Amino acid sequence: MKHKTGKVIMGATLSLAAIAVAIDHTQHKLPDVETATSDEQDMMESGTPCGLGVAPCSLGEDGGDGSDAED
Amino acid sequence: MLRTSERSQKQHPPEMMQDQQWASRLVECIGHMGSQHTNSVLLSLDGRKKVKPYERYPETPYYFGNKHWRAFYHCHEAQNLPQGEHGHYHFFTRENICDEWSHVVAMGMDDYGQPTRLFTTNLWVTDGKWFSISQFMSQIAVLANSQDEDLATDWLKYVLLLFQYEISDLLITRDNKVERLFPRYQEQCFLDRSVYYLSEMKINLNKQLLDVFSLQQD
Repeated sequence: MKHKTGKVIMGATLSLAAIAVAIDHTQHKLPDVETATSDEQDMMESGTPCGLGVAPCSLGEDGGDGSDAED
Repeated sequence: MLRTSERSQKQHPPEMMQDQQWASRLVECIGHMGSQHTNSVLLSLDGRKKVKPYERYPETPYYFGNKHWRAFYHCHEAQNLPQGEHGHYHFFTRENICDEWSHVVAMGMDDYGQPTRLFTTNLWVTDGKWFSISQFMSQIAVLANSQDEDLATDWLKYVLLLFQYEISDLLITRDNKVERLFPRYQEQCFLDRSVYYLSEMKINLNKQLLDVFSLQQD
């Protein structure tokens, strides 16, 4: 893991209350979601709204082989 | 969500030890996010002040688990989501690098970046194919044995590992529901746009971690 500093956890000595505090420190209001355009609504109604939309080993911009994730 | 007693009944000591290790790593990730005044969703959005519906975040896709797992975050319009849900992660996996991705589960996140529910959707929602429970467990083993990568994907990895039993239950419920809805021709279900969700479970990350560490103290 690249993030080695500032460990919160100390094995069995971890305070259970500390978990709730740690989680609380990650509660931040998220940005608003814009209103969908009619095209986006159409996609929702006729397409695969939650798919990856890629061939597994295509040469497209998101080829699915994970190589772009490392660039 | 599995209660402590149910979890302990399902697990043998080695699995419990693993759960505790994963929970520890997850708390470590949470601590780092807290110290950076961020959370998983904010990391995925990479500083954006507005979120476009249906757009997949982050821009550079998340691959993890030795490239056998993939996830993205996105939002639908508010009226299409449960109240208080900002958006959700979708998790996909594959057995081999050139295989088609298989959707496993989605995880709803509230307006403050905390997980609220796990759910499965019908096949038309995500496309691809589905894995059996045994295939899913094999992929979980791949994930468990993979190297840690970065804060964003490590958080996703350890959440998946920590909720793997709940996800297994959701996949079983999903398959049973398809059989119940379409006992003769299950393929009809996959294209039926009147069927969106197939199984769903509310989750509470704090409680899940407390359950795991409570077992540790027993």
